[in-house]
Amino acid sequence: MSMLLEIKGLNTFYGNLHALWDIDISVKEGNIVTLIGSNGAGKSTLLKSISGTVRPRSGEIIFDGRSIIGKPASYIVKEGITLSPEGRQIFPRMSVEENLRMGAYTHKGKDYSSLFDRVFSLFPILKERFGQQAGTLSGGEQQMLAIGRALMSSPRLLMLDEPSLGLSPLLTETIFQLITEIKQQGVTILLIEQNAYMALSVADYSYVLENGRISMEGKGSDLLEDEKVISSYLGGV
Amino acid sequence: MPRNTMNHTINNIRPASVLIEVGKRKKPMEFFAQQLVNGIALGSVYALSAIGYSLVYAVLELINFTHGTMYMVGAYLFLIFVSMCSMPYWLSFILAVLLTGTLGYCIEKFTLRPIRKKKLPNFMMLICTMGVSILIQNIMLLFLGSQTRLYPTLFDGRNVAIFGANISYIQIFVVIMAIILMLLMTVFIKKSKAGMAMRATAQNSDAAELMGINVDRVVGLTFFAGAALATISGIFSCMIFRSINLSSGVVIGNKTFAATVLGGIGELKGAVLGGILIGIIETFTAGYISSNLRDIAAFIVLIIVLIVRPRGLLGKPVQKKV
Repeated sequence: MSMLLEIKGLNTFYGNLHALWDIDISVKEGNIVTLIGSNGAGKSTLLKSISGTVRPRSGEIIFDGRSIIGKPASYIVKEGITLSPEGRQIFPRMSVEENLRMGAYTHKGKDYSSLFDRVFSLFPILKERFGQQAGTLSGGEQQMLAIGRALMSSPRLLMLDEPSLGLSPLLTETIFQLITEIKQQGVTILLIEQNAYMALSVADYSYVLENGRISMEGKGSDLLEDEKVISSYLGGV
Repeated sequence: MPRNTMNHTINNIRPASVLIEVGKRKKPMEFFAQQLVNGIALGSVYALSAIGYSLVYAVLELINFTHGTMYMVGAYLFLIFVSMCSMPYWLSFILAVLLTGTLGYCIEKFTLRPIRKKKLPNFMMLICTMGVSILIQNIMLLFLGSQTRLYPTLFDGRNVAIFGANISYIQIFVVIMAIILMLLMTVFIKKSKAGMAMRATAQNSDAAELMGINVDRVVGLTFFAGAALATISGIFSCMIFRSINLSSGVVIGNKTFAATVLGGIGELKGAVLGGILIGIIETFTAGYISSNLRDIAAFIVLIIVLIVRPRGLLGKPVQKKV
């Protein structure tokens, strides 16, 4: 299969701080690709650079054959890339329904039912909570809402920033099961995760980010057995 | 109906304080009813202004000092269209609302947006709105002069007596129009796609951007709506008082601020409640204590509310889950 997303020589700055150094990444269509690395390695910055909320200084971002670097976030969502941001970032004083409708903001037409059905089949709990204020949901439900909301834009590439943040191990496992289910529906996924073991076991391909640079890459299963990865990110087990 | 009112100032208009002096000779119950009617009419005008103010605050967390100025600009535009250009009322009204709304949009686009893009602290936008409103006020002073002018009104100042209270047709008209506009605004904010985008931007502008919402356009639209509502409020209240003066824009700006904070800033219902309360408090203070205190009363209540219940009457505490 062809490459859906290709990044070449990407550099991003925060003021004078050089956050990303010559990043090269490719994401194959239909794959789950994960980025692992410690806090401050630049993982979130990379996703923000792709989604258009942070402007990269140089490099290339090619999505489906078209350059999208420097385009505004609203354009990039329409192109088919949606980011579910770190910390969920739902709209707390809107209902679950309204949150999902906002996710489908770029959707043309008035019929949302097929979009809703798809989200409900993955997250049945959201159907029960349909009219409830999103701020009153539990942490796990809010995470499901955040992913569901991102899916409402029918993305071809779904980017997830730390979906297991603050969740119990059991819930984390549920979320990861759902992520593989989303992949089976044909959505390509680019995932950031603190829980490196989880991230590597679902990944088709992985990149390790260190101080804003790619230090390692390979198949998820290969990296799981790599000594350097084990000692740095898997607790040396 | 006087057509060429721009050219001379008027001495024989009856400001609200005179109406109240007349009212004092009435029986206590009738006097009370009169104050209540005046208060509700004034309050519904404040409520309209407060909705616009509250919208802008909700979306940008900005105390917008241009709001009172927009109120003045809009009210004067209506006067100019009616008396100098001899346009019909409805056309003057629509033109004044659209032009002032556009001015509000431009103020945001050319003075506030650059500050936002550079991610400078919020108080810089506040100072910027102060500067812009001083500039506009002085331009208006230069061209229009500082004298009080007669303002066109509807129904020739006729009124009806209900329970001993004299209710002018214009008061009834303004209250009905205000209720209709408030209902329309509520439906717009709650149900329309643009209204929902406004609420989403207010609650989390970063996330709104990720949904594909063009946040700049939403903020621009909010400023347009804020200035348009200020204009409507300005035209209506000048119609009730039948006079206009440049300095009342500043006073209105402050009272709108008081009304919004009293009701709970960022809440639509709060803005309406706060506006009506400030209107009633003001007329009752003028009627029962002294009309010299009318402008102070609103702020005394505001200070008490801020001490007892800082988030305002209907304001909600911030809800966050990590």
